[in-house]
Amino acid sequence: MKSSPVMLMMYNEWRRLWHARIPVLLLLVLIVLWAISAIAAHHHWQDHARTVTQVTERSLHDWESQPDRHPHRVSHYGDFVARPIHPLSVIEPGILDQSGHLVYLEGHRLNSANFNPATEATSAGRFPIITPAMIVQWWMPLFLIMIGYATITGEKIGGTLAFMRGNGMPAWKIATGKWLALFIPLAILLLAQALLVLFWIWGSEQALVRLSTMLLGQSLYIAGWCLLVVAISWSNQQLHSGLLALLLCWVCVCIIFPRGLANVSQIMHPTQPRTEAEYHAEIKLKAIGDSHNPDDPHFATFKSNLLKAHGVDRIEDLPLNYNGLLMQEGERLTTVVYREQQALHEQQLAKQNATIRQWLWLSPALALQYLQMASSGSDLTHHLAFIRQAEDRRYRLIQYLNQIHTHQVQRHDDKNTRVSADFWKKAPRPTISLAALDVSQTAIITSIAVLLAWILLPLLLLSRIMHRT
Amino acid sequence: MKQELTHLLKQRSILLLLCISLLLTWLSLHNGWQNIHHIREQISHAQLEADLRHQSQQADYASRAQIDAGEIGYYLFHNVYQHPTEWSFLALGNRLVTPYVQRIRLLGLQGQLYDGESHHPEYVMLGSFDYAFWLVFFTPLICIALLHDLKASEFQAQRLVFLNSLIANPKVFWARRVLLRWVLILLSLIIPLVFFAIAQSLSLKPLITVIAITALYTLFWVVICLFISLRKQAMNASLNAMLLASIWLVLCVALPNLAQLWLHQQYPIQDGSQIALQHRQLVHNAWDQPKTDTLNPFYVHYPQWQDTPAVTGRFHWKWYYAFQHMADVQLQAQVTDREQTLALRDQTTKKLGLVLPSLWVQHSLENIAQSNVTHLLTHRRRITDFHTQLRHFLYPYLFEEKAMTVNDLVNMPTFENQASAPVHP
Repeated sequence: MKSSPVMLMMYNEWRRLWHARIPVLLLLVLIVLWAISAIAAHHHWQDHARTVTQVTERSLHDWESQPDRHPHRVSHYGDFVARPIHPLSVIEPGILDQSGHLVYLEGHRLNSANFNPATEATSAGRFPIITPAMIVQWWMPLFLIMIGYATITGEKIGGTLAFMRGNGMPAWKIATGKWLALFIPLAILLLAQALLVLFWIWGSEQALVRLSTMLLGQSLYIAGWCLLVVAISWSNQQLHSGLLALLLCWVCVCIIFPRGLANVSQIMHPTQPRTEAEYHAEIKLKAIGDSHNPDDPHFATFKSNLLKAHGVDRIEDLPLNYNGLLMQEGERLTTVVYREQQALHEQQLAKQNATIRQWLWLSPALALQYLQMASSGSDLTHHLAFIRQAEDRRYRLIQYLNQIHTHQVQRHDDKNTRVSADFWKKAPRPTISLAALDVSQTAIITSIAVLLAWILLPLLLLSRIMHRT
Repeated sequence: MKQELTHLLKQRSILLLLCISLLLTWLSLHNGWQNIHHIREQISHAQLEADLRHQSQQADYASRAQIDAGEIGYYLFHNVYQHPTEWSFLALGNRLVTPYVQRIRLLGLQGQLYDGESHHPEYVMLGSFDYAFWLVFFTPLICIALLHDLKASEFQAQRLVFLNSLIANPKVFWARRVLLRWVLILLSLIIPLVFFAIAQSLSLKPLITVIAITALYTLFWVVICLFISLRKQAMNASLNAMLLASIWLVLCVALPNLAQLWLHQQYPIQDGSQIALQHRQLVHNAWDQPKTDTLNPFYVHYPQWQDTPAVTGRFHWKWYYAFQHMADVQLQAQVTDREQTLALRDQTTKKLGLVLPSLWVQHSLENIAQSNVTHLLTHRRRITDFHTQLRHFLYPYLFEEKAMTVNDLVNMPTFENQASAPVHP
């Protein structure tokens, strides 16, 4: 069987790497590291998954085992929800540790998911964590550099490159052969991971779309790095300078740019401290009116409109419980303020994101991270979607309770009434589900664009220098 | 020695590397400083707003004849601040995540203590670029780049045999070479550090400790590089580089990760939110129970008020604050347990640091920066003390139903006064 020159180049490169022994060894180390990361990540994931199931079970149990109560007591007793996690987050846990995953839902308060385990980490927690996503994002390129930095420089030094070119081998064929030799083993590893993960996530929400998005991103990223290694290896005359240049690229792209960008965006558009946000919300709440104050202008109009609508003169003559109606109106108003406040917070986060996105082209590693986080459902947009769902559930639940307060409780004996526990069981408590992948559409598109650009960049470099030798 | 130096600095790549090291050290210091500066600004802004609020509240209370102490406990929030210390910029550690301003009122403390800060979670996840990270994680790479090909480069330049025949004492020759490189690496780290310390007029003692740590850690890596690159068969520079990079990967990534994993497995703790949740449940159950069930155990802790008038009505503030406090008391065992486990985790990290230099450096620098989990625990203890002081201030008005006027509010404890003595480990 006669192979094409490109294939021959590839086989020859493999033969060289095999005989050099170090590259094979490195590949083995990478696989071992991968296995460690998978075990660690699985362990970590299980912790979270356990918390989510426990919290969900407990919240149902606590809710349903409530005795006969006054509905307003129930609305303060509240309900709590845990953020659902996708099994794919075993690959990329994303902001799981940083964002908190428990939200308390109660009447006229907006609680947010705010306990983050990262607060209490010891010094050991400050080291970059290894997850399967990190392996692809950081360690695979690093190993690739160590395996492949000599790929063309070596041929140059040995004189074989000039020989091949002299024999009429086109430069692009050499480059393609070398690129394939580096890319194919890593692509096989990525595919193997994807297949293993497929078994793991089988049957979960949008399993195939999410996994294939992730695989696409990873393949583009690794393809880009392979090209960069070939291009830089071609442009250097000395092994050393090539290695140094590649390592420098790696340090900047993988570590300095992402961390630097995050820091810059945080300093340029600081988020308001939680305490300040809470004070501001309280000031706004005071401004809209106090339902306990009989002279408050807003609630005075509310009352007179209500009386007019029912054609009565006193609230005692209303067919409904005025206190319950007051609660409903109050809840509506406070919810507006809290949602405004949340929108403000989201705006601040969006500003920070925009700053990072503006400079995202600097770092394909960060682009890949966004893509991996988005596809594993552990990025900021998925988290915010969860917060919105939780808030929606809170509002519906509280207004249901206020309805019961209005219809089932008599005003003259309001404070002493207890309503049957059956009403709690019928309360609307829609299940919280993971948001669809569409919420992170912008992040995915931007990331893929950046990854594509990072394939073009080394290609341009390569096409400029290939002809010189 | 001078010849060595000129020889070394003539190599463009080495000069470039040293310049990069110099630049990145400065960048890491600057970045850490910016973060701490930001925290300081936010704190002073919060203090300013708190003062304004305080003034308007005073005016509001002054207009009333009598003040309801129960309402003071419920509606009056007190800011507590976690101030960065002078050297905090070295290692941001927990300060990146913990809230630097929190607000506390007289309700149960365990329901308020675990509220996190509303940072951008992705930003926190990416981590920051501070001196500790730069030193622990990257200086080994600089050492490797400068020292992996001591013999191999001479061999490749076909000078090694020549050199061996020339030099009288090879040990002195190589020692001089290595020493020079170590000093250059060290200088590239220390010069920005010293300049920074002078420019910001920082205290000297921590600076010397930091320099010592830096010197020891880089020396450790230099010695490792020596072992690899001065072996008898160390003629293949790439092999050396890869061996050293693997060692780096193991010492700076794999082992710390495994250490963290083992630590969490060995000393598991409850999520802080679970404590807050239990607190809520306890408080809610108290509403449904007879008032004596709350008040009798409370009076065991505070016998001085057991003879005060009994609560007969549907609601009384003293009963309300008693069950808030009793929920804290009931959780006390769990909270102490949690704190002890966290402290144990930290101690074990320190012990692990004795065999894992990267961890030792990180831990030591965080101690200088006071941004470790132990400092968080100290801070929480101060909040607890402050909360207790507040309770003791308000209890007489609640239990003895003493009348409260605006003049009494002057004596109300504040966190800043209480915490006037800075905490040093």
